[in-house]
Amino acid sequence: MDQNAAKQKIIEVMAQILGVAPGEINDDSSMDTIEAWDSLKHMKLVIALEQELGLEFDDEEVVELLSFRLIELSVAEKFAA
Amino acid sequence: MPKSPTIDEIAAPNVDALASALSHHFPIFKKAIATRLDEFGASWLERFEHEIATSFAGDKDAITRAAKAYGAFSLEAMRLQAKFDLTLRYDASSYEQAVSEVYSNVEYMVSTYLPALLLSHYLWPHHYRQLHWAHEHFIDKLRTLDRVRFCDVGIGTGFYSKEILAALPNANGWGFDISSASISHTKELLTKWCVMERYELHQNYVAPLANDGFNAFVTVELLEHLEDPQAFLCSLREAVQDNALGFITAAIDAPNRDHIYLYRDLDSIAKQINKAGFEILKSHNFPAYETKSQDETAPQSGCFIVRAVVP
Repeated sequence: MDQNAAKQKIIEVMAQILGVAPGEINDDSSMDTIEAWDSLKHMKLVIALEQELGLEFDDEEVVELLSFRLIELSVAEKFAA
Repeated sequence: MPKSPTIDEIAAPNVDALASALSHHFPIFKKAIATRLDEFGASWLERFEHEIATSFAGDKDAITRAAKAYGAFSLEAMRLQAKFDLTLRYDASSYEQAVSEVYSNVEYMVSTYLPALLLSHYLWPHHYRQLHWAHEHFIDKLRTLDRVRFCDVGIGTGFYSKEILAALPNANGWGFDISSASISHTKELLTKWCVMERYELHQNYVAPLANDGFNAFVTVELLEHLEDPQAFLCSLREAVQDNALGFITAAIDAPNRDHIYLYRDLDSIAKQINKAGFEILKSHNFPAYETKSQDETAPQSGCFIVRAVVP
């Protein structure tokens, strides 16, 4: 999956899980800026990303994926590896 | 409706320390304490502060270790829940496996399992609602007894024994658990709460008292850890007096590495309780959260106030 397609998929999944419009997801989106993004939603987001992108995050990575930017970077690293 | 106080408006240094440790080590749980405060109000914070101040005796390193334990334990539970949504099965295959991987694994019990469970009584909403319900419908009812002699089977952290002994100065308790780590943790907890002199610990299954029987009992989230909870409930009935009052809970749809017996609803627990010789006086099911679709499950606490029926 190329970087743009992965980015679009991340936005799509985040919007669906966190209940916000895709247009509201940007580089500043994080647990601090999206009120609905709590620990429960976070785990659902991680599981959905794993399923949709066909990759896995270990526990140390899971607790670090606290913003759209960090998710995007982590996914890019995994596809590059 | 009046706005709930924020954590900054109430002096709660030990909860503050826990919140800081959670934010630092498991930032995905950084909203947990503010969310519970918003949900349950100032009384929750005051009780939680008292709990941490006493149970951790002001030891900030111990609070940090407990925060890390809670984070790791909750993360695993949430992952297992997501998997359970797809399979509707528990992974743990046998009681023997659970004993070797969990209850006899002292390092895991001490570093993760027990401190995480202790905090869960306040941080998991269904556990806190269960605690509140137990006080209102069980512990307060025991005040009518002249002398409470209760057993706690599957003591875990010792939390519910502590709650009874701290609330009822006329109560004596006997705790039973197969885990040496649970025995040690309970002894330490009850000593910190200055109630250990009214308690005996036994590292085995429940047995009837020699001279007098138990007129009260608790068994909190034990049934799902057993391969044959029906047999256990029958042996529990034999161990307590006729008309003894009890508080029984079991986890429903709640995968964990040591959960074996899957309950999918309150009724299946109720049937086993009745069959063992207990009358159900009151029951309630507390879900951890609302589910949004039929494909999603939520862990629940099935709670019962029971009376031992005269055969």
